[in-house]
Amino acid sequence: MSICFRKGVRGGYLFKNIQGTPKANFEEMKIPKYVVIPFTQGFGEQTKPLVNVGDKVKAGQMIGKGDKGISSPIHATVNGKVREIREIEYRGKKTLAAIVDSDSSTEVVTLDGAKKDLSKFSQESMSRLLYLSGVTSLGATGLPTLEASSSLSMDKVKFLVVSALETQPFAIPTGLVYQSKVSEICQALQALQKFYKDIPVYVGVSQKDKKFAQSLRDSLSQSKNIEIHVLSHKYPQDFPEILTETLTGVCVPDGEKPDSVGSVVLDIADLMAVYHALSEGMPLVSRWISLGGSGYKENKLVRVRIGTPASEILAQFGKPGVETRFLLGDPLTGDVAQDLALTPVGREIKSTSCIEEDAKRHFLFFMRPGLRADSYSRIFASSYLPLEKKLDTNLHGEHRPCIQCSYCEDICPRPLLPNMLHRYCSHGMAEEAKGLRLMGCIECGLCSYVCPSKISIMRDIQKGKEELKKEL
Amino acid sequence: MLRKIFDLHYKMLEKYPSLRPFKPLIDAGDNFFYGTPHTTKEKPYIREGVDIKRFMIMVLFAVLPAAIASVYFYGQRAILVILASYIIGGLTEVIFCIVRKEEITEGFLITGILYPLILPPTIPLWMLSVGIIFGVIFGKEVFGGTGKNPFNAALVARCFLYISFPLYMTGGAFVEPYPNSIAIENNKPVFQGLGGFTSHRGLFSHEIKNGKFDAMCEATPLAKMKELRLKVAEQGSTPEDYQKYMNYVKTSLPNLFWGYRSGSMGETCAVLLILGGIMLIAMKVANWRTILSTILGGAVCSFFFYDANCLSDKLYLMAFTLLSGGFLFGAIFMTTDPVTGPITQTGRYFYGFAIGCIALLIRRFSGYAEGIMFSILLMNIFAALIDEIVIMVRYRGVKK
Repeated sequence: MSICFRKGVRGGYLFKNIQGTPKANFEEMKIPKYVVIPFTQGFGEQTKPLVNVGDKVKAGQMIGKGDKGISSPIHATVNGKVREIREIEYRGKKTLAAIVDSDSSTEVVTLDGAKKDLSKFSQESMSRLLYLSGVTSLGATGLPTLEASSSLSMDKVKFLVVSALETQPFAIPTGLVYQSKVSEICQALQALQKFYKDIPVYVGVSQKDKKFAQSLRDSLSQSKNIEIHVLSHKYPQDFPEILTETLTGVCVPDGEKPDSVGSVVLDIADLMAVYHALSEGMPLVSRWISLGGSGYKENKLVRVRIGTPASEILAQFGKPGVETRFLLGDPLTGDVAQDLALTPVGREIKSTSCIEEDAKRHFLFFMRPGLRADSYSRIFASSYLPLEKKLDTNLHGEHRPCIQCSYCEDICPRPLLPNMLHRYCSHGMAEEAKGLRLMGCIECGLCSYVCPSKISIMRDIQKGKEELKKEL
Repeated sequence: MLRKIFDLHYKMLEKYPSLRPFKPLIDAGDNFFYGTPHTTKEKPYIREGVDIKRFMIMVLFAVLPAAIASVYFYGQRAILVILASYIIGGLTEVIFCIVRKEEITEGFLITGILYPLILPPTIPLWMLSVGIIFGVIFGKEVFGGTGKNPFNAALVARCFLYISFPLYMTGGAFVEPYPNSIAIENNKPVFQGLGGFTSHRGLFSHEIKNGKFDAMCEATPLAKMKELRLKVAEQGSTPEDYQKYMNYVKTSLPNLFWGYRSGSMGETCAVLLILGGIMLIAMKVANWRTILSTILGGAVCSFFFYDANCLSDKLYLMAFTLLSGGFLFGAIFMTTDPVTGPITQTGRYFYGFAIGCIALLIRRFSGYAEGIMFSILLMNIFAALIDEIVIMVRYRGVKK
């Protein structure tokens, strides 16, 4: 196991003053007319449907359970009737999904065995409750329990890494949002630490949330082996691989997930889900998602039932009369929604982005001062003025050959040469690129974002990786 | 209005298929004035604002002060020379793009202005045209156009002229700059009137050369210094020779800094070049690694190559070497051409340092007075090798 002595992400990019960054406002979304519940959610394989078309289901009722392989149970998230079970495209993959018509009642069936005092759980009862509530499918590689819920088995867990920071362009102000939930977070942390037999726990907090870090430190002062670190706010510091490397100092091998070094990576929202599952027996039926981007009327946090289709979210929160593009996830790694009515917000979705479609031609674009343009270089006036920058879908330039400006090398969070990888992969020479640590790419998308020649470097790298995987 | 003109052209293209080959030209114009209508097709769905046009335009802005200074020092002819370079070189580029049915790219915007600025002010226009045509074709287009050229096109063009027409490129080709004799008598070299903006010395090279107007042929500071240094190095040289040598070095420093000296058109005014360089570095357009390591390489080598009696004399010599000739212009605008340099950031340190060293080697030990052009072209060849070594070292432990 090699140790890297690095604090914070290498390279990276700090998104600041982006228009459409969610504020710490909250709203409960009303129960949607119907929900689309994919049978593959979070980490794990597709589960087997337990219901048939026409069956009545209750919110919180288990409707999918895996019989083999790694998976966690899937729950119905509204009260109503199963209208259809069909194949949909969810995050670029085909999966089976149940479409449930709701009767707009809000009751949820809870699980038994919940205890208000989280320290009183035995390992077996906690494992069972976590698994049945579906919480185990959260996190980068699932939450290891006694059941087959993660690629990592219980005894191989070495660290618990908690990300209390978001660094993407439309990041929520984590500190403000969770300031009032510190005690719940700490209880969940302590319970999980005990559950994994007192492993070290690392929490990464953004440098913007020093106050939040302090209050976490204060309430955790009694517990041993829990470290709170203040990290830089550069994207992609919150990626599981980067976070594990920064906080634990252990290098994640190329092409592997953090589970290969025994690290369980959780989000702070996942911790809240763990808390609710353990203290109330609440199955994973709803979650807070952030609405980022200028395509929304208001940028805030919304609690939605899992499976709420994108079309419902847009109908309620979208800006009317503006052509927008809806992305599941943040704008850099998010997937575009093909069919809005059949694109659900799944368990693992933390944020949705709605960016304006901009196919307009701007007169003398390259000569403008660029008051609202975001850029890695400091060419635009926006780098020197405190103005809100706008992100849209325009390419902002033409495709050109690579001029070797090396922005991508500067910005890459791993020690890669994206421009070289692009050269090899776009010519089908993935074998050559393997020697340049092609598999080490974590697909954060920054190289494509900053490229002034507008080359889709990440797409080429992804193609190269697929090629390599096929050969194996 | 402009939009209508372009739309009209596109309609004409549809009507007359024989005009199809000119589509790249119209496309280029259209894209120049209007941004792209393209939207992102794959992840990530957002892209930042900088494009190659903006990138290149910034280099143009950075070199513009030096170009204006060239007019100030060498008269309105400088404008003519720059225009000729743009027109002739641009035409070559456009013809190539039309023949190859490719998009016209922005690379020439930079080559077109850098090239005339590294030529002597008396360069005949026909020679300039031959040079730029050669440079564009054999420096860039034969390799596949912008982004694929191994050599800096402007330097290839200059090198071609330097070897083919040495008489026009050395010695007598350099004339003294404008704020002339009167200014020198008053010992105030620059800031005397409007210089070349108002006075007229003739637009064609023979007019200047015939001495009709008050221009005088003047050896470049580097050539003079070389002459004096050789005298010192001769057997039987007296301490007076050394005094003369050092005196020349010391007294010419302010002139070198402010630009009052003979030399190629754009490379003389060090202060404006430095300002341009700072602007490029601040905007992250030019890579500071290359610029700094080139200057460092030059400084270190000048320290070891030029003998002097005491340390302060050595420092004077060092300043002289860095400010004279095309060293600063080369370091700031030529070495930082990203296409012809190495890909890796680590490689850029070695690349720059080697350029500085080789330039000084040529200046000190060869018959040429100036060596920055050859050293950059030479290192252009080795850029790929430097990358190879850097990558080999960096990824030595990776399994293939």
